[in-house]
Amino acid sequence: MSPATLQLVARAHAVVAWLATAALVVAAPRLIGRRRDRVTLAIAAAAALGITIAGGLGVLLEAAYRSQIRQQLFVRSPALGWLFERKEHLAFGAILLAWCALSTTAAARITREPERAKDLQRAARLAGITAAALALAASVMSAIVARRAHF
Amino acid sequence: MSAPRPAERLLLAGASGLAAAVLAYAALRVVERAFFPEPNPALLIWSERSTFLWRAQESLYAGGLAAFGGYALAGRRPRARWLTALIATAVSALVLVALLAP
Repeated sequence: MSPATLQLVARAHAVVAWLATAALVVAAPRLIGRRRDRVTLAIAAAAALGITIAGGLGVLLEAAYRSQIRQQLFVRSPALGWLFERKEHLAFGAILLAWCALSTTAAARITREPERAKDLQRAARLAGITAAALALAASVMSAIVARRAHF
Repeated sequence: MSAPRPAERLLLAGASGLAAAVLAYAALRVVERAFFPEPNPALLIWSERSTFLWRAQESLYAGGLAAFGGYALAGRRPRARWLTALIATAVSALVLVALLAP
C-alpha cells in the first residue's frame, strides 16, 4: 500500500469510527427505554455496520502499524504504545457487542413471551451501553495517540 | 412459558456466540501474557504475525462454537437471564484485560 493510500485509509478509518461511535451513543438511550421500534433497530444496525467497517479499515492498517509505527510509538512513549494496545482490545469488544445488542434487540421484538422479552431487553441494554462506552473510549484513545505521536 | 421459536433461538445463539467471543478474546490475552510473553515492543523492529489479528480470529472461532451451545441453551431455558450474565462476564473480563494486561 502506498503512503498516500495508507493515509487515506487511516483518515477513513478515523472518520467512520467516530461516526459509528456517534451512532452507538445515539442508540444507547433508545435501548435504555422501553421502545423497541424499527427506528431503534435501524440505528443499532447502522451503528453495528459502521463500527464493523471501521474495524475492517483498521485491519487494513494493521500491517503498516506493525512495520512502521508500533516500534517508534513504544520508543517515544511506552505509555502511548500501551494505550494504543488497550484501544485495540476495546475496539474489538465494541464491534462484537454492537452486533450482540442488535441481535438481542431483534429477538426482544419478535418474542411472544413478555418475561423473556424483559430478559432480552436487559441483555440488549447492557450490550448496547457497553458497546457505546467501549467505542467512545477506543475513539478517544486513538485521538490521544494520534495527536501526541503525530501520525 | 413456551420455548423460543427458531428465529428467536438463532438470534439468541448469535448473541451468545458474540459475547462468548469477547470472553474468549480476554482469556486468550491473559494466556498470552502469562505463558507467551512477547519481546519488548520498543526493541522489536518488525513481527511477521499480528498477535492481535490471530487473537481476534481464534476468539471468533470460539464464539462460533459457543453459538451452538447458545442455541441449545435457548431451547432448554425459556428465560434468557443467562445471556445478560454472559454479556456482563465478557465485558468485565475485557475491561480487566484492557486495564491490567494490555
